[in-house]
Amino acid sequence: MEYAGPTHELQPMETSTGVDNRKLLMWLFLASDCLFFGALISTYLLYRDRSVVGPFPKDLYDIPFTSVSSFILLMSSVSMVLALAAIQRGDLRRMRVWLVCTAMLGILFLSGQAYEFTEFYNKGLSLHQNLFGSTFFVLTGFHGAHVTVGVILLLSIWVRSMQGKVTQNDTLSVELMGLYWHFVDIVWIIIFTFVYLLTGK
Amino acid sequence: MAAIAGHAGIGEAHEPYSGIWSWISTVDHKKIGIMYGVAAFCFFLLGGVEALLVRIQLASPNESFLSPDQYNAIFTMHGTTMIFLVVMPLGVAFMNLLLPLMIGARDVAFPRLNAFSFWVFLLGGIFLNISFFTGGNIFNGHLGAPDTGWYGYAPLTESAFSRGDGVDYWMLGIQILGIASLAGGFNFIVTILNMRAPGMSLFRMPVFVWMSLVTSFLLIFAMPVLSVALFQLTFDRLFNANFFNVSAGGQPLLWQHMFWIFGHPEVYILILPAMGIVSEVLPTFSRKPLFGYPFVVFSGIAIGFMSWGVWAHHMFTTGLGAAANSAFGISTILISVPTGVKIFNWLATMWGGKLQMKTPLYFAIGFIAMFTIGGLTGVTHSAVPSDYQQNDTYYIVAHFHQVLFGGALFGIFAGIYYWFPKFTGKMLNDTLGKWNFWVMLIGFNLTFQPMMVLGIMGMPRRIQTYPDGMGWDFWNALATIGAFIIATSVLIFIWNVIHSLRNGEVAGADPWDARTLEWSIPSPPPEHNFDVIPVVHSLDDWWHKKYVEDARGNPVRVPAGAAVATGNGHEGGHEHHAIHMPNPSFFPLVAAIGFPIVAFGLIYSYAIIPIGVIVFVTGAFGWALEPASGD
Amino acid sequence: MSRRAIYLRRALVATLLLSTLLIFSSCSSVIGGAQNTLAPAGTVADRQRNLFLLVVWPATAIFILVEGLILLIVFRFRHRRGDDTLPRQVHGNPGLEVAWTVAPAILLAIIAVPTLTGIVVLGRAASADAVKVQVTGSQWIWQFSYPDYKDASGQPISGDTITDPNGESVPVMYIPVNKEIALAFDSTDVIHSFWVPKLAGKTDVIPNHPNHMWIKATELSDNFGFSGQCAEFCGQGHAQMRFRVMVVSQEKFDEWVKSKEGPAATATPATSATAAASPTAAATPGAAATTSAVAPATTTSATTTSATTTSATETSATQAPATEAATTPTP
Repeated sequence: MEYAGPTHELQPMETSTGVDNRKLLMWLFLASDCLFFGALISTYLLYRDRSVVGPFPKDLYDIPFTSVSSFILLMSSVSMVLALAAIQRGDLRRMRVWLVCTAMLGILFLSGQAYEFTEFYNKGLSLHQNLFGSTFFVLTGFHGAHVTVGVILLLSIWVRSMQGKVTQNDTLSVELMGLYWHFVDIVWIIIFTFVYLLTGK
Repeated sequence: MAAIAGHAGIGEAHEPYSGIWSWISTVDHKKIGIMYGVAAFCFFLLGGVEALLVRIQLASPNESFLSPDQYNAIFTMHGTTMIFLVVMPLGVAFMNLLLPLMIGARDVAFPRLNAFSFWVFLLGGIFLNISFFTGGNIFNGHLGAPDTGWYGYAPLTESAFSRGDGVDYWMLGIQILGIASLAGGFNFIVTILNMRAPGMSLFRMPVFVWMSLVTSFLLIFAMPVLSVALFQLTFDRLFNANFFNVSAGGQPLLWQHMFWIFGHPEVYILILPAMGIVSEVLPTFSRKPLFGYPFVVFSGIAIGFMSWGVWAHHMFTTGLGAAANSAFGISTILISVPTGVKIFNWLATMWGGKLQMKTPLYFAIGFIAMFTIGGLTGVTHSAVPSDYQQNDTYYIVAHFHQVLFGGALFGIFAGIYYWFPKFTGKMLNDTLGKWNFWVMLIGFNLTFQPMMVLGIMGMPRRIQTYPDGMGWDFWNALATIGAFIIATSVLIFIWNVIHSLRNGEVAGADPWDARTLEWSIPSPPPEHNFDVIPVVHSLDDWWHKKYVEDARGNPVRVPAGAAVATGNGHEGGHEHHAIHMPNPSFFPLVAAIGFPIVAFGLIYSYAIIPIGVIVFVTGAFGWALEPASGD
Repeated sequence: MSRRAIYLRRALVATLLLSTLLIFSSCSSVIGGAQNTLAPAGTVADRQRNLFLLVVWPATAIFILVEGLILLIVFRFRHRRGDDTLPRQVHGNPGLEVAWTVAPAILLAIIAVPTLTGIVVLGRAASADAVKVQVTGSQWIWQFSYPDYKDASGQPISGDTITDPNGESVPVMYIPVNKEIALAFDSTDVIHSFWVPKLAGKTDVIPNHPNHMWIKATELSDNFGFSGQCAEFCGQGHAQMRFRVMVVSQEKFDEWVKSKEGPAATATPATSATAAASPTAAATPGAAATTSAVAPATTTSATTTSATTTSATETSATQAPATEAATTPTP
């Protein structure tokens, strides 16, 4: 897609990383995004026991429910791996199935998050209520936004594939999609651990 | 729409758009670099006028030229402009212009992302400055611009204390500029790591390329932290969140930590490109290689790493406790070592040389002379208890201007005089250039050395006025005079550029007898840069194509013609492959326009936000779906 | 270029560098003023000044070395007309480079020692007998209150307002000379920073983040007090957020406290000295007479050891007997 210089063919090992430009770009983006989530998670942890008024985490968290939705997101990573494996084999039909499956699991996770947000809001937690509300909604909200972008990208690859515009030559696109999706998944595992399971006082 | 440049097609018109449209749709790194430079220079004039207004207000005690509100808005915009809209993009301009040429590539890795980066920067900068007009009638002196300082310490920036739209423009504007910086950072890293010509191993890269690589890594890791801080402020101001709301238990120091975790790497983002420029200029005009290339490169890398461990030296007086102050004091002391190494290596580069006393060298030497003061005053801050006195005084103002003006800007001027012929084909006038240098140097010292005295005499920063009898009058008057002398030097520069573009001496491909690859191709370079991608055999490859060293290390010129035959591919190239260049595209601009629309929506009416999102998505999809190049 | 032009240019260079040097060196000699950090009047500021100078002198030496080298190089190694040869291509010298990495590192390590001890000493808690002052910053005014001294209504006494030399009315904090003061800081709105350059460097005054600092004035102030001002930008009135610190003798301070406490004050004063004497008696000449027997003895011993009493007798001779009694330490 993007213009790649002719250096690749000549001496790939000495003057380039050997990683495709777009893949390197994705890795760099994810590295940068680590700092983004790092700052959000740090803020959450710094403010964890500092809310002046309730509701507090222990009043709201429904660990079994969130465990289930976390499991759903983990499963979507599995289907993402299967989608990539399919296109690498040249099996575009299976790839489409697994892509849609991944997107659906992502949407299921987002629905769970929407339900959770509504529940918490009805129990008195809002952005404005206390520090817990501000840090919780902004952190998990930005994660949800990442999942949403991922779902949109998954579906657009699926649509393009239905139009017959994705071929085995586009394996890289699916691979990049996978990198992003797994990253978002790993970030959720960290959030689930630090935000939900280690609730502090 | 294949844009194919034949191997002999120097200056051949093959673009589908002409005139201004060729600039708007360009994805050529050289055009984008020039646009970055020109836009940043316009912002430089704006920031300079703001500086003059500040200096007029402070010229004498009890002055009432500006009201406190006006003063606060103008010093805030001066700082924000100079950092985000001038020094940073000027560095990026040089990276755009030079990186592909120096590593022997035809463009950056992602040309359209590069165009996107520029447009986002330009629109973000304009967005930020539109804030001036939002405070009522600007002709009656009502400035709507942000007035909480470029560092925007919470809780002063919270809605409770800053009611107008100014801070909204500030936080959203910088957020937009951050997107531009991130896109640029990713692009340059991929370009440097993946696009080097055959034989251009990492340790044959020019120092400027190395410094750009370090800068780009700093950008992609520092920007997200600022971005989170700005998002938190945005949620506080627009959606009543509590991140910095003291009554809900919010901690104002959280903002400071996040801001300076970004902010200190940022200082090196500003200075490292200039260090790279100076490391290119000095060897060329000393006619000697850089002294201790590995040392200079490794000290640059060391600075990059260490810059992450010194942020709290901006916060010594906030009561972090003795342990934290000691740790950050020590790390601040340590970071001055690699900086000092560079200064001595530069001096050693000139030592024993045959200095060609041309304007670029003047500015490069000015850089060393002035940056040394900046570095040494920095050491006085690392003595933490001493910093308790100097923090937030004019001593600090003097210190960082010595680093960012005496350092970064002098380096950038050296770069402008050095590479102007490469990209315009005309030499800048050397006599005017030297006038530019001397007037600027005198003005600079007259402005900022008195500030050092003022700080020691207890004048705090950011005060709109000061009473009689503090002993500050004389030094402030001197600084104001100096500021106007600097302004004069900038006018000389502008005149030089206009004059030289019209009547300047025509520059050949290699007017300075220089060392790096960009001088091996015509001035200005053809759109595809290299007719034949060069094969690199050593550091300073172009120099070694022109000179060989005898046994005693004395250079001997390769017989005339030989260098041209091997190096200037457009004359001797045997490869007749068609060169595929990326197509011009309007989609990066379309996508970029989405951001300020969303930002206006956040400030004025949420109904506008979807329009911005649609514009962005249209641009992004058009971008993704159009063919990138002809094949 | 003609010879004359060359001389002219060299003269310009020399003048420029000389003037830079002059401005640089003038830092320590020409400057003065009410907020001069190099003319401290307190223990903390004195220590900070000494550390600053300790760094400045080696920094000046390095400055002269680097700028001198630049001048030397520019004159000695400039390209001469008609010289077509190229210089020897020196690529580096690892030994030399290691040397100029290690040398500054050693120099900096030396500076680190007083830095660290300074951080610890200045960061310690104030001594137990320090006078406590609660400093509150608000947009754009300072308030000083003394939690150990209560007025008639049981509230802590607070600082006064005086007219400063510029005719502006500013808050003033009274403190006794040669005695540690424990300052506690709080803000009611945004971040401010407490700074009296002649007494001590800054401490930021941050809401939701209580800070502390101890100071000790070693010189009496004049009738306007030492000048201080807010050093953290805090909005529209930042430049006007000025205040004064009146450093007075212990006797005058006790008198001031008494006047603030009011005649009916019955709360137990914190200082042992005033606790020993009845508050009402100490203020009357009779009380002075009753304690005059011990006064001469204290005076003689005090004049040799303490600057407090000397300056107190100079400034207010008539009050001396009474104040002498008040400052008599009770071991």
